[in-house]
This record gives sequence, structure tokens and C-alpha cells, in this order.
Amino acid sequence: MNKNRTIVSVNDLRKVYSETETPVVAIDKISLTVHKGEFIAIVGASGSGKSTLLHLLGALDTPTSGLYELRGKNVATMNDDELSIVRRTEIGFVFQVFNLIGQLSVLDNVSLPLRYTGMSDREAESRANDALSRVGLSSRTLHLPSQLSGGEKQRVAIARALVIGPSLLLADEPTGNLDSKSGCAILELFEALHQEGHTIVVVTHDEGVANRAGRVITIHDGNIVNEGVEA
Amino acid sequence: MNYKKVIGEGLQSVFANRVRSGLSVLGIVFGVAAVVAMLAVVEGARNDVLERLSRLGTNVLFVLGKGDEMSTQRQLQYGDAFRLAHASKLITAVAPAVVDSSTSKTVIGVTPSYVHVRQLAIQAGRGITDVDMQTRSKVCVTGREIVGSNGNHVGLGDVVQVKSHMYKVVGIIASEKSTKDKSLGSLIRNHNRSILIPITALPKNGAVVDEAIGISEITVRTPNAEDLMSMHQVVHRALVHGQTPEPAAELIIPLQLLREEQHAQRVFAAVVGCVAFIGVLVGGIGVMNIMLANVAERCKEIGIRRAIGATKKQIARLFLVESILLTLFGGVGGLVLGVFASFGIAHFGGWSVAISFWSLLLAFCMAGIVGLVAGWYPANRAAALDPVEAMRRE
Repeated sequence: MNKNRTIVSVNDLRKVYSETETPVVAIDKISLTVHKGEFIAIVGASGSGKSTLLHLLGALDTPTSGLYELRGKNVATMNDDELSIVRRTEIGFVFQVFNLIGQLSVLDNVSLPLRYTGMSDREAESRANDALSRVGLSSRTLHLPSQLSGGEKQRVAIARALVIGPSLLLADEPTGNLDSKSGCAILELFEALHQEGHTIVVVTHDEGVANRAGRVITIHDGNIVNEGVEA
Repeated sequence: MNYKKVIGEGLQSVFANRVRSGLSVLGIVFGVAAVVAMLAVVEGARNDVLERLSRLGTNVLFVLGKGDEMSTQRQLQYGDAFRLAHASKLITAVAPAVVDSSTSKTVIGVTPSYVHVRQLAIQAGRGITDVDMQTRSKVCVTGREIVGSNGNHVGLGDVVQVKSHMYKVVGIIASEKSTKDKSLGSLIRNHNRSILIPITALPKNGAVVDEAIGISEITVRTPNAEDLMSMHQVVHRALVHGQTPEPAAELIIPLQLLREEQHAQRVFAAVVGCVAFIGVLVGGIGVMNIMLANVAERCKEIGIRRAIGATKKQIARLFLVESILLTLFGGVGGLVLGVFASFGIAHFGGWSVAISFWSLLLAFCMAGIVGLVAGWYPANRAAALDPVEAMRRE
């Protein structure tokens, strides 16, 4: 693969939690490359370290050691402010429990990452409206999250992740809190985004999700034990 | 994120919990109200002092006679004023006076200098002259509120009766603003109800040698206010003349009294100010407590905001603005309450109060600063939360 197409380059990444007397190795020397336009599923048992890996990739956490480059920038050594900038400009994150802010309207939730970049209200709202149209929720912009169904909430969360035009779209069990119908709809949305050229990394237990991914990475005890390409 | 949006979110959060927000700022409300009322009282007292000083002038002192006819000490006499006038170059004018306030009208026996020394304005006619003094003329200069026998205010040429004597009105003193002053007693005299008569023409002085006329007071004017402080010796020397014993008299320097009064007011203001400040401080602790609870409640929201790109500074700003908004609301409530309290003090306590724009601004800014200080720790605590940890909390 061409190096210019590399979005994520991880080398010997290690995350150790040292709060307890016995340090816990959550991620142990993982090396991984994600190319532009890839759809990767990370699978593994609970506690295997897949969510920790996703948090590291999402610049929500910092590694204990190792190299993490996002579009050529060394994220592993960034300070807190730099990580915030990476999160709001490069990475769209979709969580299992939606993580919308209850007192803000759908439009405000989606435009929030743009506002943190200092973008004007008008432009942020215009872009948020576009993102909501993309996920089929343009009629729900003024609703509060509490007035939406689970599937709609997850669409809002996806719109919020998309609004910044991310280099990397990360999702942590995006269908985990949804019924099968809504889950299917969300998967179709992810697939459509992949078709549009988005780079997607999804952590999942759901075989349906894994089956749609171009590559499935299996993690066990903080190590990659299998890295296969789906047919 | 622009400030308009941050303030909007802050307001949303404040109004989402109206009762809690209202209760949390009660301390600020009462603290700010106390500051406003305290400043109003201090400002009122200061204005009072300035008004009295402007009426008397800063370069004036009084020698007040204390003795009476039964006293073993001799009385203050007209001759003392004469000697005082020539005692020092620092004395530019003296005005001896005999004051009789036993009736509703104040009858004052004066010399021509009285009008000048007391800074009175003659609205019509003339003042008492040297000729009036020498000829013991039965003339008088009256205040605006002196009423004649016909029930009307007297005018030039009318006749006023003092005891059994009749005096012709030759001058009218311009109306003076009334004062509530108590600290300087009769020194700040309202001349609206006064009748000025030549000291030599007073009813009881008919057969007395001028120098021996018993007088109530001598008003002394110096070129500068600074000269007043060195006048004790000069006055003492002038009053002890030859073998004549010193009269029973008291030297009063209004400027000094007013300065002492101002000092006392400052001490009072400092004490009340401390109490008010403690009130605001306690209010601030209440706000800090609520903000800490707020941070704990909104932990997950903070995590989400951090996860989608908010910096620590942006999170801190969100809570800081909310804290400042809370205290500013309390500040506005405090200003309103403080203004009402000030009027209440003026109405029921009879104190002078003056509410200045600066005192309101000071109290309001104080509330804002308390909000800033009270919100600082909770805001930094919110900012310091780990995004992943914070999102896990419910």
C-alpha cells in the first residue's frame, strides 16, 4: 500500500494501568496500520483490550509506550490540548450508549464539535444540518435526545462524528444498545459511509458487523492474535 | 466556542434548576444588599459632612462661652472678641454673637462681620453696619421665615418685636437649606428663623459698657484651614488679658470635629464592610458548593464534551461562566434589595443615605469576582476529569 494512503500507523503500542499494586497490561505491543477507506472490525472477548485500543486510536487516552501516528502526526507524544484538537478535527467517535448531551437539541449536539473549533454559529449549524440530512434526521433538528428512539440517537451520534469531516471514524459497539431492526439500519449506514470512502474502525461483538468489515482484527489479552481479510 | 454560546449554555443550566440556583445565591443576595446599604449610609454621612463643611467653610473655628451668671469663672465678653481680632495675623475676621434661642425665633446680637464670617447671603436690603452699632439702632436683619404680627412673612421696613422692643427690618437673609446636623449643635445655625440685631442694641445691653457685654460665642475665620490647628495658643493668649482671668470658654474647630467624625465613619464602614464581605464570602462558598455538585452531576457530559474535542480550558470556561452568571443574578437581586434597604434605613432610621452609581458598580463587580473565585475550583476540577473515566460515570 502507498504510504500516503496510511491513516493510522501503530507500532509496539502498549498501555499499562498502574493505579493498582499489580499493573494491568491492557494493550501489549500492538502494531497496526489502517489505510484510507478501510472498514476494520476489532473483535475479542470482554476485557481483551479492544475498547482500550479504540480509546488510544481516538486520542481519548495516551499510550504508556509505543508509536501512534495519525496521518503522519505523532499522537502518542501530544499534550492534552493537542489531543483535543486531534479529536475535534481528525476523529469521529460513535459510542455504544450514544453519549448525547441531554439538555442540548439534536442540532446543537451535532454542531458542538465544530463550535469547539471556533467556527461561527451559522456555519456550524449549516454543516450540522447537512450531517443530519446525511443520516436521515433533518426533520428532528430541534428535538431533544430524550424525544428520539435508540436508533435515531445513534444516527445523531453518527452525524456528530461525521460533521467534522473526520479522517478516521471510530465506533465502539455501535449496535450494542439497539434492537435488531435499528442495528441493521445503523450497519447499513456504516456500510454506505464506507462506500463513500470513509475510514472506519469498529469494535464489536456483533458478527453481523464483523461480516461487513473488510478486515477483522481479533484481540486477546491485549495482543492481536488474528488479522484476517473478510471475503 | 464563542462566549455568546457559552453564556447561553450557562443560562440554560442556571434556569434548568431554578430553585437550587435561587437558594444557592441567597447568600450573595444578602451580602451584596448589605454592601449597597452600608455604602449608601457611608456615602450619605460623607455628603452630610461635606455639606456642613461647605456651609461653615473649612477655615473657621468657634469660641463658645460656657459660663453663666452664677459661675465663678467670668463670662465670655465682647471685649474678648475685640482682643482676639488683633491677636494674630492668622485671624482675618471675628464675629461675636449673643444668641437667645428661648423662643421659636432665634434672636442673635451681632456685629457687622457676622454676615461675612458666617457666609450669609443678604437677599434684600443690607446687613448690620458700624453706624447701627455705634448708634445702637433698633434695626434688624431677619431670616425668610420670620412672621410678623399680621401673620405674613416680614419684609423690608416692617417692624419686629423682640421682648418689649421694636426693631425695624433693614435686610432679609437668603433662604438656607435645613440640616439634620446634630454633631455640631447650634454651630450650624439655620438663619431662616433668626433675627440679627446689633449687639449693642440688644434689650438687656442697654446700660452695659460695650466691652463687658456678655456674649455666647465668637466665630473666628483664618486665611487657611491649616492655620486653624495652631490657633489654641493664640486664642488662649487673647482671652487671658493682663490680670483678667480666662473666661469659661471652649474652642471648637469644626474641621477637626468633622475629620474625627469622618474617621469614625471610616471605622464604622470598615467594620460593616467586613461583615458584608463575610456575608458575600459565605454566599460564595454556597455557590462553590453548588458548582461542585453540578460538576459531579454533569460528569458524563464533561466526558462527552472532552471526547468530541473540548479542551480543558473550554470545559473550565463553561463552568466558570455558569458560576459567574449565578452570582451576577444574586448580585442583581442584592442591588435591588440593597436599594430598598437603604431607603428603609433613611425612612425609618432617619439617617442620611446616598446611593451612588459607583457603589452599585462596586457591589455588582464584587458579586462577579466572588463568582469567579467560587467557580474557579469546581471549573478546574471539571476540566481535570479524564474523558474516558468521566463518560463511564452516571
